[in-house]
Amino acid sequence: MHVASERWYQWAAALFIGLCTLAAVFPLYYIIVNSLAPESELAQGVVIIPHRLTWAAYRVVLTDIRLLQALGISILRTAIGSLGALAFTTIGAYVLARKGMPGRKLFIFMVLITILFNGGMVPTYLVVAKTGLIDSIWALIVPLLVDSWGLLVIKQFFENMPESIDEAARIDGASELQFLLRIGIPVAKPALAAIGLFNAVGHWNAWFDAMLYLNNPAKYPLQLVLRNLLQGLDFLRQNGLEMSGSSFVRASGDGLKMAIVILGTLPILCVYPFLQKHFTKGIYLGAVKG
Amino acid sequence: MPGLLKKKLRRYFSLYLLFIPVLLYYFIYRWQPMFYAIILSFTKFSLRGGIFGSKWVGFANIQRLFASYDFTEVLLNTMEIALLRVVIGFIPPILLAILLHDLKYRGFVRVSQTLLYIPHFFSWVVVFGIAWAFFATGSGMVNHWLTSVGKEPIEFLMSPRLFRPLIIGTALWKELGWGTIIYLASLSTIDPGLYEAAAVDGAGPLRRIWHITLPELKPIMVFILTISMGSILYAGGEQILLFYNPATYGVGDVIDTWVYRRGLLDMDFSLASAAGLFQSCFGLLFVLAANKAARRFAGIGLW
Amino acid sequence: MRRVSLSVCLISLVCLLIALSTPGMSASNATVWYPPANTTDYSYDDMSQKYDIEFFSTFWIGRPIPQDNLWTAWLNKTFNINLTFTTGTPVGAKVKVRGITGDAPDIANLPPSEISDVLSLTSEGIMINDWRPYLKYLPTMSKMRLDPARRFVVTDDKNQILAMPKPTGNPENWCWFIRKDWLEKLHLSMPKTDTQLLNVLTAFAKKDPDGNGIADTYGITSNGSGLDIGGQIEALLPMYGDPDVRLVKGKVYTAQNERKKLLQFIQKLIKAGAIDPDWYTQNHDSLMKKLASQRFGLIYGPADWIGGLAVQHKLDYDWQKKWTPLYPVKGDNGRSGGKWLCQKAGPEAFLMVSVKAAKDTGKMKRIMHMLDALNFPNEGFWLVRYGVHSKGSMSETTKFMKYGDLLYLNWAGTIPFSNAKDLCLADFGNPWADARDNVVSGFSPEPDDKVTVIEEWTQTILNKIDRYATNNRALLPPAPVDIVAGYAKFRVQNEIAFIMGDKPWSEWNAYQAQALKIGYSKILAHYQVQLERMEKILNPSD
Repeated sequence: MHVASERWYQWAAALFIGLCTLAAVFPLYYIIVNSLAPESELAQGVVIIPHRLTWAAYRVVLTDIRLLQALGISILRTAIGSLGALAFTTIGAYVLARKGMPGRKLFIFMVLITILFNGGMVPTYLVVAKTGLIDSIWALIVPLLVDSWGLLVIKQFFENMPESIDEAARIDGASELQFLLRIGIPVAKPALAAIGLFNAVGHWNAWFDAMLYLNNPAKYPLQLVLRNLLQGLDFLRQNGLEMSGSSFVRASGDGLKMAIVILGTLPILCVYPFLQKHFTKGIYLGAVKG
Repeated sequence: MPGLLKKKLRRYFSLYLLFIPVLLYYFIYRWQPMFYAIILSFTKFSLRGGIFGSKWVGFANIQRLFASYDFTEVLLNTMEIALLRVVIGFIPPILLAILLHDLKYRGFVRVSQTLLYIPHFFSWVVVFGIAWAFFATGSGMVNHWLTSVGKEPIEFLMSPRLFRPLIIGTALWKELGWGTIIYLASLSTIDPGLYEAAAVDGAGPLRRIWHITLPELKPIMVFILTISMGSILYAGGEQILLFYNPATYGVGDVIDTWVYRRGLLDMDFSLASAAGLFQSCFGLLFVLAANKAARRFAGIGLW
Repeated sequence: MRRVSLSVCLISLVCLLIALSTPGMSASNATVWYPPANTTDYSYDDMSQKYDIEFFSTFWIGRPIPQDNLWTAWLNKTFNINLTFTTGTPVGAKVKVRGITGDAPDIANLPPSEISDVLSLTSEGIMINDWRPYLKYLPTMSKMRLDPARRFVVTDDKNQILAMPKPTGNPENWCWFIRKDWLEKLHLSMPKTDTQLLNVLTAFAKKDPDGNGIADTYGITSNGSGLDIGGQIEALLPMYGDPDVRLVKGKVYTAQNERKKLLQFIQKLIKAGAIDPDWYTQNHDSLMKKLASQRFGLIYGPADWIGGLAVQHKLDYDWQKKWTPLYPVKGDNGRSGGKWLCQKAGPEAFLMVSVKAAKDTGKMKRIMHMLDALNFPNEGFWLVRYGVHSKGSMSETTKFMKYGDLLYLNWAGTIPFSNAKDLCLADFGNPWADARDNVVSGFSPEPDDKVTVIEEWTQTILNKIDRYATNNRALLPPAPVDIVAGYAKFRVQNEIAFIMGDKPWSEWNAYQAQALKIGYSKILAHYQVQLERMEKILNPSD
């Protein structure tokens, strides 16, 4: 019998999985702990298990106007951006799912092209400039209004709808829009939820488009502000003393930076269990895309 | 025929109407940039002429691209880093997926999975923040420990030697958990009867993996491998832009970062567009080739 | 020594006007000093029509001006305009993009590092390429700003004036300052050679000179912005000799040997742990904030920076007295150098106006009128820079004798803002940013040592410290962008590689040779032409 080797294998597997899991979450734990540790402790050295916890860093973060502004911008772009993307993408998917529409194959082909091929950073920038979006928050939303990959996935869903529903609606005399709203969307709900969430996470995490298209620092979303802080290109005020960069020893506000990192990832963590369900479903649905 | 077409158009009229915003979007923000890319790549851009009024120079921009002292290095960096990502990132998710699938304590597995997927959802800025907290010279955890045991601190972010390991390492950390999903999906389709037969035959876990699990996974493994090769000209510019600086240009500067600097900071539109076009065209060729290879060797492709 | 506490400031604010005093008088006899009323003739502008004007600049701290501030209100009212401020970096690139879409800002203020953008913006027809026709509308500015040296920088081969240069404020009182109290505490003498300086800086970092028990001090830092070694540290270059680009026996010399030695010095600083690890990546802003944290022992800047930092960050004014000017340090263990830089040269900004705005002659006159009226010594200058108006020249409705919440000014003429007459158009951003942050100018009305200290320092720097005469690098028009772009990355990449030890010093000559091939030889050729031209203009031979 091979109970022995099987048991050895099980233990080894558990160990390995445990280590990977630990590696995945320890950094997060470290950041959280550092954001909650008092500056005095941080000044002494590396903190892994703090002796005291304090909300001081979060209090500063949540009362700093600039950060609140950036947070607001992030929330705004995520909400409008992902809902808008969902709307546009769904419409596009629905239309292209309608077999028999003249030109359908051509349109699908052109959508496919955009997945494999893009204009590049400079041409896209020029287009955004020409459409007057520079230095506007809409530059963070409009260029992302249709998610091509998501479109194909949702289209698949619509195409898999049984013909009978289609016939029934047709007899009823429903218009395309009504059909989409009353029947299409409920049917495709799992795909919509997944794609919507994908887009929301993408929006929340985006910083490069903000860096490219926005001039006015007051309009920067949270991720960009965080990046500037981390790279010493910006500073935060704390008790009249500024802080930025890495060298400045613990007493200079590393806890604050950690708090902002957490802020940058908090909504995702909060929504996470909900996300996980829909995401794994989304993966099962669509093509292989990281 | 025209009559039939007319009837069809009328029938589908409301659909077309519905589709207009989407079509507009594609025209303006997807196809127009492609069009610009072609024009900009083959003209010498001048502000006075604008995009459409500048002088046509044919392949001069491409020539200038390869004549510039650093583009070849940048191209090599891109391919090397992309390759490293694929090679290093290939095995671990497979291994982890197999272990997750085989482990009997399902509760433990479920909890682990939940935790393992988390890093995937972090933004690269947050990942950089985490890397910074660990590796920064002044206050990073690692350097703090090093100095406390009397060693020299390591300048992780300024060291060319450590740059690629840092990039690949953090990328692996971020995507390991998530990468197991596709394999877990495949593993769940394996007929348990095969395992039972193997157990009866007296096969231990290692032999079971070698003779049953891996061959069953072969198609998906080959698929992932070949498709990853298709993106060899895209080396993760967003991540590198966050982590790099002039000290690490030599090993870390890739096409995307180079295009950003030359195109949008130095404003050499023609050159940067040519580089971008080069990347897109050859990138497309690579993906097509990869897809063909995947179909041939794995039986499945992207389409 | 008097401490200025916040309550005193508030009381002063309540009293509305704080003024100055001549040395020897106490603050209780403070009088208000009003600048002379504006007398320049702007009758060419009939002021009838209201114009929309957009001003694009990075401003002082790189933050956009809030739209609802008192100065904009005053400007709008006084000049019958509707003024908006926009910002973005890099300025030149952003303006170029705007230009492509046909929407260039009316006025743009470019930092000196972007002088090559001055060339491209004018040659591409986005901004006007000749200010000469408008000089008649700018009586004050043309007198103040267009001395031969500065004019040379912005003049092209056709003698067109491409932009209006802004001279460096306080150009001559920049120097290295060192923490004299730390030296005393650690029983160190004033460093005179680079080796001694290295030891001092290392001691500053390692021996806890501020006595707080935490190893949080450093000798020096810099503001590389992740792009270069940074202006702070580059100011040590004179240790090794004249850092200027100049003609030596008719050929261009660019002090590369001196630069190599500086890079080697930086390497030693890093190895010794004497320099802040962020020196390479942080920008000017972060630099200033850190300097205010009292954790650095060596600073390079104008005499009033330190006082300004003290005020801005509400530090004890006594902090200022812990510093003292550092006399030039000699590199190569005492064999070279011996002078510091004179920051005299170089425009601090370039003012440009768009071709689009120039097409409207009425608007152009208004723009010129406004720019000139805001120039020293016109009333607008004082208002925009310090919030003070000429007595009797303002109506009661615009009462912003406030400057943030505090207003201090000392203009009895005893404080050597020594080149006051060289101070021209205020960088618009400065007063707004200051006001927003409740910053007080570095000068106080009280006859206290803070002011005296700055005066002392300035005198020392001007009269007792040897300095290399000019800074040609800042004066020369730049080489064309395509030559510079490739070389820039190459130079920066290599320099940091040498500093970090990734390239051995033995490869330095090979690097120089390759640099020439890549484009540096073209840059040298350009410098040769410009230096010869500059010689002719600045030192006409008859």
